[in-house]
Amino acid sequence: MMRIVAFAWSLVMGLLSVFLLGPLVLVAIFSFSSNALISFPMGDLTLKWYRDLFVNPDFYAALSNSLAIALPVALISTVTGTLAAYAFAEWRTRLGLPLLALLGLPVLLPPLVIAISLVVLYVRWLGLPLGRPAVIGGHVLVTQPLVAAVIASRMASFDFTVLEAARDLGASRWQTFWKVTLPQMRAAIVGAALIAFALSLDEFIIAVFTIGGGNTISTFVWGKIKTTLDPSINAIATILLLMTIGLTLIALRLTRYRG
Amino acid sequence: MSIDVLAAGEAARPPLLRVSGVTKRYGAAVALHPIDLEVREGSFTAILGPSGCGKSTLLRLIAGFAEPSTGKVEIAGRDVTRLGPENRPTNMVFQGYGLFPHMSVAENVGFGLSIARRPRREIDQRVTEALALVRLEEFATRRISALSGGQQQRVALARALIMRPLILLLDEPLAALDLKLRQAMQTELRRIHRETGGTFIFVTHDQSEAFSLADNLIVMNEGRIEQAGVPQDVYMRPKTLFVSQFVGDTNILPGIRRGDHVELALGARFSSPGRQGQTTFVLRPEALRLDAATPGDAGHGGTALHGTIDEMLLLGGEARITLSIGNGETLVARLSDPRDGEAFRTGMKVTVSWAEKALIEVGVAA
Repeated sequence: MMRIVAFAWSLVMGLLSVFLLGPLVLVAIFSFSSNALISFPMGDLTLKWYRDLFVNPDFYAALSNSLAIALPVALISTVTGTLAAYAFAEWRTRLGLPLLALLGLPVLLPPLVIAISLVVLYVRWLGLPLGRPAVIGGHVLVTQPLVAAVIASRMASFDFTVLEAARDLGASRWQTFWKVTLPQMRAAIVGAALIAFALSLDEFIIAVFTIGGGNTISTFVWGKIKTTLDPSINAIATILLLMTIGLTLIALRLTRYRG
Repeated sequence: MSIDVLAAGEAARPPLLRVSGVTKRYGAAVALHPIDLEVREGSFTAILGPSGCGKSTLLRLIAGFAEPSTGKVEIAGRDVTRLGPENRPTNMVFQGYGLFPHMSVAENVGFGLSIARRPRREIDQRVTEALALVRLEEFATRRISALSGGQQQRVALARALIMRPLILLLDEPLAALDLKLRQAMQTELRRIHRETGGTFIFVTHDQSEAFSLADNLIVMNEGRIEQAGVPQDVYMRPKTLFVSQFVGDTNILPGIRRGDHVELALGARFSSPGRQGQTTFVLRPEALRLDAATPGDAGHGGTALHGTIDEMLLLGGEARITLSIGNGETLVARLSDPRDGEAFRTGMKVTVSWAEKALIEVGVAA
């Protein structure tokens, strides 16, 4: 009886995994198929779609936009998120956790709501043009809380006595930060930056609302879907998938972040 | 005559540490009432008190991690009240050690000197010396996480001592170690104090630790210094009820003074002029003498009472005997040779006596 139940559960889990991961696998497989449509039989193996992409100037424009957004997003959100987590941890007041939660609010809101609010904020209130800086602002809003969460979880196991010890041995606040705090936090900070980078890279909704003219990788794909179901989309998806998984794996390994 | 000369010499040389009128308030809460304290060079001073008595606060004020609300801290004649920890000639061994986990043992120990930008060769040499002092020469390249608690404690000591502080501060230095290691570390601390000839101040809540290490004892309670002095003196002549209770076991004997005589609630009466009315005496358990015989005479010029043995505890090296003395009062006696205890049984009637000088008056209990 127990065996049957265990087997049934394994089956359910197996089917669920196939259902969730199947499309991803299909996309990756069909990016190498010579068929113009996603259909079986698969036809011949080819790298045509990848070649098409790499000769397409629009793809490069979108890719360079994405990178020009993701890099500053990673940088800015890492600095602000780290400082926020550090400050909350160092105060060690009861206010720390609620403030961190407040900072994390954008993650809880539907991205659509954030995107629309951002457009209203930029255009109506601040009179700022849409474009790369606008997307950067939006992305920092949602990546910064994750950075703060990663850093805060590292901070939870941080021994604050070392800071006093460093001061006692003659180090200034600044020296203490550089020689004692930062070296211990480095892995977590790099990991958090990679997560922020990966999130920004494949974020769609905020990007499409705030980019104005031009494309990021994700809006470029969206544009392609609207016009033709070109299999080069599969190629882009596969590239993005590999980049995101790769970055996340490195980040998880560096931060040992659990949950 | 020689005493006068000595006193003059002492006066000419100011104490290494002088704390005067220092208080510390956190909002409405008072952590320290005005504290006056002097520590002379070369002493090994223990600040002893229960948790929350302000002893750690006082240590942090001396180290510079906190600023006093009022008052002054002077080290070697210099006012350091407003200086941060990095600018004071003190170094601290923290309770949790606060070692840098991302550095090796040698890097930890050399940290202070590298911050001070000493030449590489000097740092290497002094690190070697400091590690030799705490007997960790073999561990220079180890990671901190690869060390036991006792070894980490030594690294923390070496890291502070390498700075050649005028005063070494230790916050509950042995609290995290198990009993055996604690005793070994006490011996080590005494040796290191002797070899460096430095001035050590440590905070502890453990009176046996204070007695085994210190040559100068400061007992604190509720943000005040209750008594300061040579440990043996504090034990033998406690000034307050708190000190007599916190430092060792004690019998508390309330009494009333009428004229030149005091009558204890126990029933004893003896001659002792002083302030009239209610008062309290304390009596150490080891000062009590028990006799199986039922004598009519008080004998040796002290006080003698009759009692019944309620309870006997044989604790290996000593015997603790609880006696009831008529009218509901009890006394605890300690026999340092447990063989003396073998003559007694629970329920036995005995005579209990003590020398009058063993009674210490501590005033009216609050």
